[in-house]
Amino acid sequence: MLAAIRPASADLFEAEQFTLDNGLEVVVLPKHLAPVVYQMVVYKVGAADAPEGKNGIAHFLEHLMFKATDKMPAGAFSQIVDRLGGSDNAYTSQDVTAYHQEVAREHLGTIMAMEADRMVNLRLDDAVVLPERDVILNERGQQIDNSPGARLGEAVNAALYRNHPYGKPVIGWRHEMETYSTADALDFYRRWYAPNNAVLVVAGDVTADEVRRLAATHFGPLPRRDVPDRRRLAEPPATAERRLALRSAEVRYPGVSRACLAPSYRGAGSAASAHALSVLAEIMDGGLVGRLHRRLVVEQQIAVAAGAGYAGDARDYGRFSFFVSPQEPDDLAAAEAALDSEIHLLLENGVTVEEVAKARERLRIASVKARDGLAGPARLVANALGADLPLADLQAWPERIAAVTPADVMQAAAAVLTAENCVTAVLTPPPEAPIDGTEP
Amino acid sequence: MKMALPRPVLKRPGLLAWLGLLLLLVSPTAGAAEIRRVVSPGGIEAWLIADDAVPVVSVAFGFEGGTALDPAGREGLARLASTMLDEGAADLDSAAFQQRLADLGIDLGFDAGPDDFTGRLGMLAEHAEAAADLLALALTRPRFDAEPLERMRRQLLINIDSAIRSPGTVAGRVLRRQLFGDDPYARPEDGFRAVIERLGPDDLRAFVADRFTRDRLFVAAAGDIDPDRLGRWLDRAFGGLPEKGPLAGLGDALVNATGTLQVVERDIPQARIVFAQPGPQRDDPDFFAAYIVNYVLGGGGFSSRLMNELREKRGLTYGISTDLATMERAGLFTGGFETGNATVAETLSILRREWQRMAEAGPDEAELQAAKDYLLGYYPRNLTTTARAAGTLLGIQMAGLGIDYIERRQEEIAAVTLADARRVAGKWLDPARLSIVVAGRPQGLDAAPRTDLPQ
Repeated sequence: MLAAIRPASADLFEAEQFTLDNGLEVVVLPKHLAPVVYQMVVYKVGAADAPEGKNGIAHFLEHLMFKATDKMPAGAFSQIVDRLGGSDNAYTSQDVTAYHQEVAREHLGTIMAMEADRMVNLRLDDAVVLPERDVILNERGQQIDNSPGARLGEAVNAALYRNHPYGKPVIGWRHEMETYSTADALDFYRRWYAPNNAVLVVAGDVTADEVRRLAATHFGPLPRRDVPDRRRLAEPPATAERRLALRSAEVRYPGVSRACLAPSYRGAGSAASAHALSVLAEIMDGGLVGRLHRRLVVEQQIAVAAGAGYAGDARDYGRFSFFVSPQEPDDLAAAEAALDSEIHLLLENGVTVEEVAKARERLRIASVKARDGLAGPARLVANALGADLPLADLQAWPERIAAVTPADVMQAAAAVLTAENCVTAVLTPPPEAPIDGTEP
Repeated sequence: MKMALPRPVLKRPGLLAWLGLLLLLVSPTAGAAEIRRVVSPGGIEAWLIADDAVPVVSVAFGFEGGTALDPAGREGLARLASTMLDEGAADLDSAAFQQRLADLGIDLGFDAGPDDFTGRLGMLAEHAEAAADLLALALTRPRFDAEPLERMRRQLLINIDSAIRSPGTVAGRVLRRQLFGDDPYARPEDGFRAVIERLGPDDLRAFVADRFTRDRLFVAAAGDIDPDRLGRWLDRAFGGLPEKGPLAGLGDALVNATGTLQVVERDIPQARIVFAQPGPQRDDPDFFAAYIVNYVLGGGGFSSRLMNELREKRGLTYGISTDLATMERAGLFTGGFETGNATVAETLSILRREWQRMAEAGPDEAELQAAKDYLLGYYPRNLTTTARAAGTLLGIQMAGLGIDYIERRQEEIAAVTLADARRVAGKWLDPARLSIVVAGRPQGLDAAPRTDLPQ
């Protein structure tokens, strides 16, 4: 999950943070619009922490966490949440594995007890593991193999990361997924799942005192265990521009995207500030008022859609990306040239004081809106802490954005937007497939 | 009104006994959201949930009448209009209007559904009045300039072309054609290519004049705004609309109840399957019993019979879900899933078997109770963001369900008996009335007719 979720101000969330004696970190986000709570347990382990040849095992284990424990039969977790009128699900990214539920506030103790239970008591055997392996193979078929854009996305990641595990898909390669065993899943579980490698986030109609009491009751008795450090290989310096192409009859419309290796919030050094990259993305994209939309779509009318984005929430690396879809399928090369020309103009002429000021204000407003609701703010906090980004960095986000100068933006742009640093990917239908599907 | 939270009755004490002591550590709150009816000085009504925790305001509004009301030869007009209202109004051209929205961080969007034309607005409380002014301009003085019109037309044409390339979308269109024949519900909501190519500013102006009238308007708000301010806000946003419009509604749609199986040939590694049969409408006294039956059959996510049979027991699919779709003029039991081409026939036979089993015996007591507990308990989760709360209140209003609906709904669901559910399952569900469309290269379905959309 490298989605472009922007951290907002945790300060403004009125977050309360504490740590249990066994090392479990807890963050409470009180919200009282509806009598509902949203709970997340996020483990500081993701696809990028898997052993060689088992890259998707973190995601497979995520599925298996809904099976039996010493106390509950397989599937009971979701059934009980349903019985309470709640919803539950989970997701895996390169850095975190997160489980979440939303229920009426009086049931918080119940779902907390069940999360604590499966943190240490998971029970797996071939009878539940092997059918679930078919489920994840189907999931891969549905989400990756059936989607040319997703297949190309996998190839982009593999090209962008030549050494770091972010180059491998979160769900895993099919040929490796077919080999996952019960022992593989249990090994991974025992290695990484422990209170001292997890964060509990509760947002909703609840107080920090209530959460403190419940967490002490349910998670407090779980023992601390040794968990390995997350050591990942670093990327070597980029040396060559890379270009990928995928043609498929299932492509709905052609497009070009470019992904450039960038620092993440956590990994940012002095050369390229992640906050400056956020402001740069807002200037270039900015929905319908950004440079790319205004120039390529509105003024030049070469593109139907064009934009940019910065995703900085991953642990080790971020990415700055661009995309453009041409108005006429045959104009793909011209659309790409127009995008190149905007990037060139940016690097040559820079950004204006007014552009930076407006982008910072839009980001300020977005950070206030990000406090609305339960799941949104909870995920920001869980993903940050799960990827080893301290809460204080989230809290400082609005003031760091407010401090970004045009010079910061240009320094970051120059460091990140080099040809060697980026992978360009071209997605097209086969030449023989006509685009018009005329209807009566 | 106060929204009363139901206390679910847990039917499996064995499973929950070890948790039982913990249930009461957090007590139900007394401070649940209150829904107020606000009437502006100018007579415009809105429902409001006020909450000042975050300085944001969300507004949802809708006009009765959607894509199904597009006249023949103008299919796609409502959808095109929904893309054009924020593309310039009065003396603000498209770029100026968008810049103003962006500078103030105002989210404004419109959507044309089959039966309604809705809008949503989200902003910081400090920008609420500025947002009302922009909305009023969009609804009463849109410019429909040539540049944005051509841009939106192109975007819509691309959507139409993309839809034709998407096997799942084509399967859905073939299914709607099978179910609704010549009714407007069978149309693609984005319209037809040839129509979109010729729609012009005069069509859009006629649309605005006919559709945006106060007699068809519904409004809901949530967030950091008090009733007095909202009253003034309503007049500022909607006071300039005409009182009444000329359009009449449509009669109920006829749903084709003859079950069929059709295949749309596509070279994809996994087949996409969609299916539907007639169901009750929202005002049918059977509605909640049918809603419960659907939940048990396929609406209940991981708890449903179909998910259990196809995913949990056999790993045949990543997921299957069904829905009781209640449109203004028709009701449907509908659903969809994906499976490998080699397993389509097996999966369909299990689907039909489960459909038949539900028709014959209905849910059992435990399933009924589980469905009721869920449906009773989940509703407050529709109110967790200001945007969701406003949207939920708007939906209740537009369905004609009354400001006490949230309470009344709980009572009506609690009152459904096992006999009701069995009777309703037997009355409505019938695998012989199930229309199924498979997109892919399914094995073992050689006898099924091949079909496609007209080129």
